Amino acid sequence: MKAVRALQFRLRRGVWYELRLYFKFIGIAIRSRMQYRADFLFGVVGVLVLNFVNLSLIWIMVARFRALAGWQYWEIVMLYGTFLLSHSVYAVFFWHLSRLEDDILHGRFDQYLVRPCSPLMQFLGREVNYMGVADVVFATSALILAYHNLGLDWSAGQWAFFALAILSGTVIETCIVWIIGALAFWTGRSRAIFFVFLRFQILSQQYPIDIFGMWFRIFITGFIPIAFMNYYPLTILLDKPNALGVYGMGFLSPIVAILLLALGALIWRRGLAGYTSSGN
Amino acid sequence: MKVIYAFIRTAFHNAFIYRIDFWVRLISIFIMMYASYSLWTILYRQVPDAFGMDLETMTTYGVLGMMLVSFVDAASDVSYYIAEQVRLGTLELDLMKPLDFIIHMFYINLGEFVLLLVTNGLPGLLFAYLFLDFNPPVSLQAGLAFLLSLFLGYVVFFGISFLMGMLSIVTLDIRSYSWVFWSVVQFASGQLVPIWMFPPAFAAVVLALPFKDIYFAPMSIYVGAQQGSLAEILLSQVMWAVGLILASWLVWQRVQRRIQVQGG
Repeated sequence: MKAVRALQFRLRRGVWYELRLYFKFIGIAIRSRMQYRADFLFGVVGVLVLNFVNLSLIWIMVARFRALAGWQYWEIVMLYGTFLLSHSVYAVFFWHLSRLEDDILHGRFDQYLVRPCSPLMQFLGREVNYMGVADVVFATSALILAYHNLGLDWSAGQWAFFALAILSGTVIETCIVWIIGALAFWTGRSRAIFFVFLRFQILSQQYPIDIFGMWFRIFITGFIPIAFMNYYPLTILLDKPNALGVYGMGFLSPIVAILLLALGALIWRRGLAGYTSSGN
Repeated sequence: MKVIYAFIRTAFHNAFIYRIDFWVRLISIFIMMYASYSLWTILYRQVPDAFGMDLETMTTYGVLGMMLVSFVDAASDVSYYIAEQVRLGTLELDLMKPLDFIIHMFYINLGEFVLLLVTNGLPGLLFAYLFLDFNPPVSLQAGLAFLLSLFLGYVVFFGISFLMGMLSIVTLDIRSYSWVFWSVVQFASGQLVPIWMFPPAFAAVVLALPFKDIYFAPMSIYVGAQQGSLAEILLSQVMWAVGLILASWLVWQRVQRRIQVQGG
């Protein structure tokens, strides 16, 4: 293994080379995906129905009780749409990070190490997930509807902040899943933790975190910082008090994203360096 | 009875192999129960005594829904099991067993149901009593009716799930759309939001479907908010349960003929 890694190191040719390869991989992945058109159609319709059902449930509750912890229905739609838009980019390109465990557990990860290109690029370029396309469509429609119903009129600066928040959201979600996945380098399994994460993800997508107790809010702010994906940036854009009562939390979203990216890279490198194949 | 016991034992045996999964499931259930509790508490703080119901009744309903889904949902596994056997082409192994296929499926599934009831439902119940102001059933009679209704709801769910599994024999793959179907079922069963809160026209549609008998029937009996008399609700459940099992049997008879032709 050591010899292979040394060889691999010599053949490495910098970031642009890696990126070009990545896009080539993605092109191949898209072409192979397009072989299954019926699957694509079912998937898209499914995602649309699922999101519609989620929002209907929230509508029933909020309409009957007028608001939820000071959030009107369309504000919650905005919360949901913002999350979904960030999530959709993750879902298209990085969704398979949640299945990193499979490759490590079954020794399939070895194949990435013997090729002259970064293992991460190879892993990421292997798949695209078409379901995310439906997320983009749904999220955009929901956001447009919410924007009009709330009578918002954002300045260019606010739009720029919104775009930055979406981008940060994608990075935050991707990095959390990446870090959880990379834990499998040590433990062999990490999908179980991922499933717990999914619960927090669903909850913070659908509800303003004000409805939860303090320890819960702190948990999804500090430990699994998923609230930075949609909740904190929107409290600024919609001019609302946030659940921690600390002004300007939303501005921290990009910083949280960068910190997570650094942490992810660190853990990934450590994991890769100590990787011993489960096969022989 | 001996056969049922054997299937239950197998289910427990399989479960002990994956101990991490057990803890993860439990943590997930606690999180969802807590979330439901928080949600209704906040909503009721805004409009106290909405729908003529006090806060604790409502949170009990919400928490109960999250607790029940942790084991009643076992019924949906039948469809996945059949779909998987179809995909791998091993369905004939199940046909060779000296048990009627539907009964065989029911036993396997019942084993899982009991397993999840013990490993998820009971800890959930304890958690709810200790931390989430969980009420006991409104009366002894309601408690007994709840248990009966719960089992009937499970049978209804099993029937729906079995029919879904049969669909996989016709269309070969149900995985790409079955998860959407289950989320619609969950919505229309009143497991998350009680049906009395639905807009009237919408509630009328939902009440005409069998899904309400899975969760809404036992849950509304438990909190004493059932729509109609106990006898009416239980009768509706029995009728749907019998109807769906009968439909499953008829479909299975037809499908079986198809399989025999292919087998050669």
